[in-house]
Amino acid sequence: MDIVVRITVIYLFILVGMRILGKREFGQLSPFELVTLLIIPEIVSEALTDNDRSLTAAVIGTTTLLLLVFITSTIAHVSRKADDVLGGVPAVLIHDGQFLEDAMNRERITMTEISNEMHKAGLETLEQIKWAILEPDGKIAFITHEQETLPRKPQEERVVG
Amino acid sequence: MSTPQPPQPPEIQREFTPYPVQVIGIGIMTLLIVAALLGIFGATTDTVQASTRELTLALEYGSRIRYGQPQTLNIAVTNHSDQPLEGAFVRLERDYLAHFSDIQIIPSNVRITDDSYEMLLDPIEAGGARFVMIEMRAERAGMYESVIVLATGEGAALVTVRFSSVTFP
Repeated sequence: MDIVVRITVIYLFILVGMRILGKREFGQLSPFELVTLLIIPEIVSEALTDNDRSLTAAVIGTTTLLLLVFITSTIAHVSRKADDVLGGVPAVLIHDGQFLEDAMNRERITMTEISNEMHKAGLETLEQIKWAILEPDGKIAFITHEQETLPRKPQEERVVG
Repeated sequence: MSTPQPPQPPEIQREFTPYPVQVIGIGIMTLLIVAALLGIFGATTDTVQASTRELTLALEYGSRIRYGQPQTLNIAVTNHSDQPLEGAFVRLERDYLAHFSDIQIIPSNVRITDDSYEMLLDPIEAGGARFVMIEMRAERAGMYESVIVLATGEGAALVTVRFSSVTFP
């Protein structure tokens, strides 16, 4: 039945499209990206079901989508390479207080954006930052020098009696 | 110069270890998809016909129908005799058509009675044929049987054809 093929094609198409769009778009949508993501369902909805409004088509379509998600996540879990391809890999933006411009340009992150995220994380200066990492979910994680050199807590003494 | 990388977390042995209930669920879902790909839930068309020495009544109909999808019943009446056939009509039960909407009958020379639609046929020359096409849209799920009758004059059945359709919800 062609609804299975249609949903598989659209799923793979959107999956690849999202990966091409980049990590940042998942964490923070610009107005252009938001409009794009709102329009995509409108464009593809009729292509998905071919105006078939039957319950049978809805069940088969949903099952196809769920199965694709399960297969994709299973492949990503079993294979590290597939995980990197499907989910993306973290990108280091700052190391030891130095911007890594190549990575920032590749990910289309400006210094202003990083500065905003630093302020939200309560960081004032670049020197405080050991690592700034753009995670696959689009969020920027900061690891400070203090965090990295934080001593381990000594085991609490057991109080007897 | 390679990009510096932060310390990586230790890697685990990556394996596929689903819950038993997941295996059952995925198995059922896979069967459903395979069945769909094999066309089990798809629309199908069948033909059925009945003949006498002089007449043939043939019907092409949707044996498996999808809810909301357009359907066509094609009825053909062939006169094999050496005499023209006049005053013939094809009768279809209203109960069958009640499962459909947007019904269009071509040609539109139709007489509607309490329990049937009667499509009136123009005279059929010897060796000739007449065709009736009924376009409609499936509106009720279920399995239903019906009968198409070729009759003349007072309504005496000349040829009868039985058929059944299943409409998926």
